[in-house]
Amino acid sequence: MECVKVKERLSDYIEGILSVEEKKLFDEHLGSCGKCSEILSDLRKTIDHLHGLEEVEPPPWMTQKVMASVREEAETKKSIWQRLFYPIHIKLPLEAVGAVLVAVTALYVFQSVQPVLEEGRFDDLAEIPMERYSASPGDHAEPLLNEPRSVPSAQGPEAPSPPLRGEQVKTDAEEMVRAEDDVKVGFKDNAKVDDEVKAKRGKGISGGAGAPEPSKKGDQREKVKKRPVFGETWHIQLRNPFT
Amino acid sequence: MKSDENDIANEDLELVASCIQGDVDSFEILVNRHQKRMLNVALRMTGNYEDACDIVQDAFVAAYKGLKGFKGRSSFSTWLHTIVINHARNRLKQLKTKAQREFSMNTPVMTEDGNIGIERAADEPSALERLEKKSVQEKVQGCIDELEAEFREVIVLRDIHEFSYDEISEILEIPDGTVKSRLSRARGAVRNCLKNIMGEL
Repeated sequence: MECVKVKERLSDYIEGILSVEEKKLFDEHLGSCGKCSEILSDLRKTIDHLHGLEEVEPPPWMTQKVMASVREEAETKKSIWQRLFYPIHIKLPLEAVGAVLVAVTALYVFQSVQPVLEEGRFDDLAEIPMERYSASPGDHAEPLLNEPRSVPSAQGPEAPSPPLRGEQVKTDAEEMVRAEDDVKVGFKDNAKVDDEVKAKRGKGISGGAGAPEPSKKGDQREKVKKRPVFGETWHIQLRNPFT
Repeated sequence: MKSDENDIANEDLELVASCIQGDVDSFEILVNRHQKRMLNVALRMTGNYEDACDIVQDAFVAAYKGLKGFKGRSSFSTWLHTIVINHARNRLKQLKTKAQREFSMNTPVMTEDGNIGIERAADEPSALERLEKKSVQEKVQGCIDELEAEFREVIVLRDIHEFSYDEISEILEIPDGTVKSRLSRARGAVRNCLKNIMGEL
C-alpha cells in the first residue's frame, strides 16, 4: 500500500471501520513506513486534544430565560387562536340575524309589490270590471288604473328604502307610489290617460295576450284571486289619500 | 448504557407529546435535560460562550415553535442538535461577513493539501502567531475556528461530543460517506494547524 492511500484513510483506520483485508494492508505499511506512523500518531493525539476540551456549564439563568420566551410564545399562540375562533361564536348568530333580516326585508318587498299592484278592490272589480274602469278622475278607481303603468318603475326605487316595520310600511309604500302617480298623471292630461286606459281595457282585461299593462292587470287579478289574504289585508289597511 | 439512552429517548417523546397538547411545563424538563450538550456544541462551533448561549436560547424557542413538525423519525436530541447547528451556522456566516469587512487581510483559509494558510498584511501578527501565545485548550479551539463550517461541524460532533456516525448523518442531513470524508479532512487540518503552533503535539 502506498503512503498517499494510507494517509487518505488514516481517519477510518482510527475509527476501526476498515475491512479486515484493508486493515491488514495498513498494518503492514505502518510497520515499515515511519512517516505514516508519525502522521497516525499525530492524528491520535489531535483527537485526544479534542476529547480533552472541557465541557462548560450553562449559565444558571438559561432555563428561566428560555421558558420565559417559550411561555410568551404559548400566550401569543393562544390569543391568535382565540381571535380566530371568538368571532365565529359571534359571527354565526350575527349571520343568522342578518339572514332573518334579509328574509323579512325580501318578504316585505314582495308584499309591498303585490298588494300595490293588486289592490284588494280587484276582488270587486272581478265582478264588474267595466263599470269601475269608466269612473271619473276623482274616483279612487283612477289611481288604481294608473298604478300598473307607474308601479313597476316606482316599485324599483321605492321598495328597498322603507324601514322594516309591518303592514304600516306597506301603506306608506302605497302612498309613495300614489304620490308618484300624481306626479306622472300631472304630466299628462287626465282625460288622455283615461282614453288610453279605456283603449287598453277594450282589448281585453281579463288576462288577454295584448299590451303589457292590461295583461298585468289580468294577472294581478288572478293573483288576487289566488291570494285573497293580501287583498283582505289591503282592504283593511288601505287609506285613500285622495279623499 | 444503551437502554438508558432509549429510556430517555422515549421519555422525551412523551414530554413532546404532552407539550404539543398544551402542557408548557413539560418543555422545561426537556430544556433542563438537553441544554448542556447543546451549549457545548454551540460553544465549540462558535468558539464564544455568549454566542453559544444566544444560540441555545434561540434553538429552544425555535424547537418549541416547530414542535408539531417533529415527527419522531430521529431522536428528540438529534432533532434539537440539528436546530443548534443551523443557528450556529447562521451565526458563523454573520460573523464571517463582519470579520471579512473588518479584517480582510487576515483571513485564514484551508488550502487544498489540508493545511491552514494565512493571508496577511505585512505588519499584523498572523492568526497562528496569535494562537501560539494561548493555552493548549485555546489553541485547539483556535484551530477548530480556522475550519470551514462544514468541517467544523463533523469534528465537533464526532471528536468532541462523540455522536455516532448515524446521529451525525441525521443531524447534518448528509450521507454517511460524506461524514467520514469530511471528518478525515478536518482532522488532518487540525493536526497540521496544531503542529504548526505547538511544534510537538
